[in-house]
Amino acid sequence: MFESFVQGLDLLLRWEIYFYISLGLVVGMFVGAMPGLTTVLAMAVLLPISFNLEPMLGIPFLIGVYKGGIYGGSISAILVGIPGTGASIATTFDGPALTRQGKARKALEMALFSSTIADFISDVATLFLIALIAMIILMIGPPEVFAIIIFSLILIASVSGESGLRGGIAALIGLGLGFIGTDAVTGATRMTFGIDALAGGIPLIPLIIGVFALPEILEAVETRTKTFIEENVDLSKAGQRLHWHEFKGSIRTILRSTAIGTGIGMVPGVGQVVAAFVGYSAAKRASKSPEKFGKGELDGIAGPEAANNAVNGPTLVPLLTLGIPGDNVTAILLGAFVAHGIRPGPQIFEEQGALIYALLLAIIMANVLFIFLGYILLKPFAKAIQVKKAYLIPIILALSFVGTLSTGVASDLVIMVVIGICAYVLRKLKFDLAPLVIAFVLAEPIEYRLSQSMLYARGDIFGYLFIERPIASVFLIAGIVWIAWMIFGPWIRRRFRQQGA
Amino acid sequence: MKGIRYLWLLALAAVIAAPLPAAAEYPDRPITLVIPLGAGGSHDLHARGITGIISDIIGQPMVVKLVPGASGMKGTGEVAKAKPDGYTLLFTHNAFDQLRPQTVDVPFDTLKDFKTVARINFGQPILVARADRPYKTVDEFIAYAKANPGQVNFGHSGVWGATHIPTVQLLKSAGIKVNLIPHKGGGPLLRAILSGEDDIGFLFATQTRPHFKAGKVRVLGVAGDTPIPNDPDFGNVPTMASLGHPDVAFTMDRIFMAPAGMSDKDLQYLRDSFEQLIDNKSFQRFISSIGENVMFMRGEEYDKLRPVRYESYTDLIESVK
Repeated sequence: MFESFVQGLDLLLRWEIYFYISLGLVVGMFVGAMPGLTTVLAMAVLLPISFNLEPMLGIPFLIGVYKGGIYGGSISAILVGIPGTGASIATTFDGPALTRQGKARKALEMALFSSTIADFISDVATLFLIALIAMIILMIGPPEVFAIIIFSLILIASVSGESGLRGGIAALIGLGLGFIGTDAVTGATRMTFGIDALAGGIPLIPLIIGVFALPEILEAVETRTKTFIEENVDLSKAGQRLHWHEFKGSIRTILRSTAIGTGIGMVPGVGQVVAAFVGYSAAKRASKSPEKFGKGELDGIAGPEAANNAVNGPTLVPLLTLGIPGDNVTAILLGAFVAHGIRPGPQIFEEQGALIYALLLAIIMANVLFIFLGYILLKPFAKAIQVKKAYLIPIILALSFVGTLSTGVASDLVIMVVIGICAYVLRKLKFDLAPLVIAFVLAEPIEYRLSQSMLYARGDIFGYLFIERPIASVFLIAGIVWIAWMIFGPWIRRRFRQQGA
Repeated sequence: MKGIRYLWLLALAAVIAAPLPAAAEYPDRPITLVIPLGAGGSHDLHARGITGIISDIIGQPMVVKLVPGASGMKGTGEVAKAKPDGYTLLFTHNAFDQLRPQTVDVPFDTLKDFKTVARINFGQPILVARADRPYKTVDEFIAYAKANPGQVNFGHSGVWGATHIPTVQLLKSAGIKVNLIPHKGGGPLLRAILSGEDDIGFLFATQTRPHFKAGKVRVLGVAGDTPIPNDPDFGNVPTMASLGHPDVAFTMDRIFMAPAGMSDKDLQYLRDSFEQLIDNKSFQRFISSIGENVMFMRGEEYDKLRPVRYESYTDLIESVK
């Protein structure tokens, strides 16, 4: 094993590898920054290019596109409040607020550093713990996934802090929207109101753009402000870089979110979206000044950004050790592996050890490269926001439409506009729409994982979840204890104080 | 000044190009290939290689458009509604073509609205069990399932999907009852078998191979009446037909379809072009690099099979109601 590791190091000593990684990073970053253009789409389109390159160049190239794309998604989230991918929804809580305060570049750099550092740590951990992670992945089946999603939801809800009733209603709407389409268990079509375009369910990208981009644009038109940034902010300072003391304050958050993201990365099928929300919630809970969250707090960028990138390392493990892709991105990577004659599976380290170690090391190196590339490339993005709103708004609107159409389905455009108008009305009624989106994303996995668990349980679902599946029971019990503590905690603390007095 | 010169060039180009489409032979512009499945699956992978090579044969690019959702019916419906001018084609498989439209309401009549361009190849589902389970053959499994009705967790990749159909065919043929567990695709099904949550299920050769070599799983039988050709690991696995279950015959045919309204001349042109594809060296290299076979069948031949298969699926659906 050590021998193939050293051979792998040897394979890395070629400048072309770093050229292709950089190319991928830059392409990915620009694609990700366009609202609605997804990293998955970019990778699928670029996959044939990687067929023609040798594996040691083609696969790092695709991984560069992936990493750049995830970061690109947070650029539009920070600058204009439109998440480029589901993973950067939580970044819209504090990103646009920072931009309006003239701190766009600081926010972008915080996102860059927390993303790359978290990704780096999680990739290194994956390289050394790959056998352990592979074992854990086999232990996390449908009941465990169900329990972990429920636990994450409880955590997220417990710190959202906004009006509980409105948040709950928004979450219920999201659940309802998530159930539209095809029932994955029976294959039957449901809740489509006879509209064929809804038979496949509401697609995520039009929903995200409808919920986040359209209301933002409508409100900007409504307020007729000249620039995106608050009027009293000195524009010459918008390009100010992140200071060391500002970054230092978020190191703990970055490390915490890295641990959260690496953990959630082992859970198949939930990944980045959940990790980002949990990372944000945990950062807010641990903060000395949680009231600043949502109003422009750099820690509120570091939390979700570190968490969603830390997912990347462990998601490679089922792909490499079992040949099972956990999501669309790893499915495309599997295609690239297979086309190059590399068969991921239990013997991959015996058959192709040197190559796989070299690839993992190249992935780690991609993070280092990205810190430098991102640092150079961020300036034009931060400056772009100073463009007059009269120009910026039509551009964003056009990009949103193009992004939605990039799936090629015209009905998605109608879905986006209808959702956008409803979202605008809900925003006017002071609804927080983040619970709507997270409930939408998780509706289907919750339902599906519970249905599967019930089939395994053969009738005794409680006995199955709490006795036969110890890992699931730990998460469910922790969730229940957490709720109990949220309700009775303040009361117990008061009792203790009274007794002490 | 420079801008004006370019405008003039553009106008000239438009004048030259405009009369061309009317006079030119099909195809004179890019063809959209709809795949009713998500990114990264075996259809996507096939298409990424095939579209690059077929473009050289027909002289126009073929562009992949992924339209997943509603178990394939969303993308299929889109092609059914498209103008039948040959510029929108479908790359699908027989479960979406001949079975799925019978189980849900769809805005098209699959046998009337589509014609086959070509079958590229097919995948044969293999019955795979965890290595520590007490059955080594199909007969032993059936005996075990009869002795323990409803106790075996039998996984599949989604209702009426490519591994659910042979599962239902086997249950019907053997007359056994099991606990059917749905998964979202072959990957999660494989994970469930490896982890022991599921005991048994149908998988395809490519995904099964590494785990078979590692001794984690056993292969019991292969669907259909012919063994998997040229396969070093699974070439000797007994067929379901040879084990007395000829009805367990589902194979996943990868087929290119066109709207039925397309002109006969253009359809023949496409069918001939795909036949040329099969002899193309870089196509053969591509197919073997992804570990698949070429099992070509012309569209006319395959169109004869479709109504027969359609009816056999009608019976199968009735049998599980």
